[in-house]
Amino acid sequence: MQFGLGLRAEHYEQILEQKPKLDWFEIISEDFLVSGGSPLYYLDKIRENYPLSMHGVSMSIGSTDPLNWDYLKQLKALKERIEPLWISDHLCWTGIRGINTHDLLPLPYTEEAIKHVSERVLQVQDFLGEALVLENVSSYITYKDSELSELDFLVAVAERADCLILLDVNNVYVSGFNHGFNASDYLNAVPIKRVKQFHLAGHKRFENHIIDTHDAKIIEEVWQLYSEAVRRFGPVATLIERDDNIPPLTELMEELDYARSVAVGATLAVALLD
Amino acid sequence: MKLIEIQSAVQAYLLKTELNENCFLTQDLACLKERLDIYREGYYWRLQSVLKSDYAGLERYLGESDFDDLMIAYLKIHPSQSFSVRSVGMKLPEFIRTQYPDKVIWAELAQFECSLNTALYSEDLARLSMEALKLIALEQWPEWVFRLHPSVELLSFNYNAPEFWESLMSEDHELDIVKYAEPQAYLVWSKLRESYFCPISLDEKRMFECIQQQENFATLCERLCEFIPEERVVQWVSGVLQRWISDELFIAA
Repeated sequence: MQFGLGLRAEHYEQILEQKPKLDWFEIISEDFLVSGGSPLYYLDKIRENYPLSMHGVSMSIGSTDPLNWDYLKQLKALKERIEPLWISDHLCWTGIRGINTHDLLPLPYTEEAIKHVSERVLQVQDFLGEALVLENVSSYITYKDSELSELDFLVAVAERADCLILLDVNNVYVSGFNHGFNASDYLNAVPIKRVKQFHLAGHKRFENHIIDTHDAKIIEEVWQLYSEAVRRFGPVATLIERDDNIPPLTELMEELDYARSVAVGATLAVALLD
Repeated sequence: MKLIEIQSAVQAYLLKTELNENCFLTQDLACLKERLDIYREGYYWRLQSVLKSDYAGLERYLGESDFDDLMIAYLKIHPSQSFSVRSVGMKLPEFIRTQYPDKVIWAELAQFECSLNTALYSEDLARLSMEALKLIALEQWPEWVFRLHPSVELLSFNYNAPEFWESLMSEDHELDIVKYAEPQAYLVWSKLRESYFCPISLDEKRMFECIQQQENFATLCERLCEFIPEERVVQWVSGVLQRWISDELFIAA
């Protein structure tokens, strides 16, 4: 089973000097779609010692704007540069009419959206030459026109586009709280064969809602949900994301060690029951 | 509602606080606004964080509150239109020039910081060295064309914006803003993943512009003879070239 961390600029030098023991780093693709400078310097150096996966935030696969082929060409060039383990982005949209809100906005769960997104995913997969891995986003709003649940929408897109799923366990927890659905039931209905990777992250709790801030430690309830996920899906690659309030690398490595122990415990529990 | 109508409604709230209640499933309006504001506030917070980082000197000069007001005014007219959040502030210098034409120092500080940032992400190309230059045969010199590294930019300021920025960013900020009698030229460039700047003289600006226009060495010297005595021009040009090669302004042949 693979365990990894999001690659953050704050840790570049330490990673090169100390070569911490983990299986891979996940990059934010857009940070490296530049002509040169520090980002590509460190990317190439780190790639010499670690596998990398590419995780994008601007594909906007659900937008009604046309696909951004300039962006996709640059993404493909980056893919050829670093030969990533896989390429992922989010099942969402980020803007229309040429605007990028740089936020991962939820889609309405409709047949129109399933058809629209699936067709675009197929085009992107054909262009990149591999299956895309789509992440379930956390959300705070629901649309009157939604005909399905978030889960059914995710599964329908994955099946129709024959793509893979990056199952963000924290996002399942956050959206479950915000919209009143059972997070465990959600996990139990995701097709096992489609899940390529897990994300784990922290969030911020308010009175009536949770915001997916990725700026805090993972809470016990999310660890429990992760344990359930490992018991259902098996040894799926697991990554801890931290996007803000970035702590020292040692702290994230300790959290990753804890993820390993939770996964080992869950795997043993399954073996004992069998 | 069609998908495009739903997305239009969401974006309209994020960017203009225009609310179409019919789009959303909600128990009450206050709850809906609270949830939509998570996205709207997140949008401004995220982009303002990037702008604060890119224009740290301008923020120090204006103060946090005035800088935030300026950024909100900027984002209302120039929402991000790039897949990279790094590009969100690229139009700020022009925005200040057009919207605040009397605030010349604001625009010049912004332009300087924008140029420093842009230089950092230029293509990594091998630089011309003195050793490589010494290998050029004498007969090749007249036709030789120096090629600038893509990070190199020529700027012109009415104020001492670069030096003032440097002072702002230091711990003991003491320098005052100075208005020049004539616009002063500066070069900005990157080397080894850091950005640099220096003021240049009028003659150096003339020489730089010849190089920018890809004039060969012979033409470069001829042009400068209009301003520098002929018997001194080659020596003068060589001195400037040595300095600029040491600063890694040129790419290898």
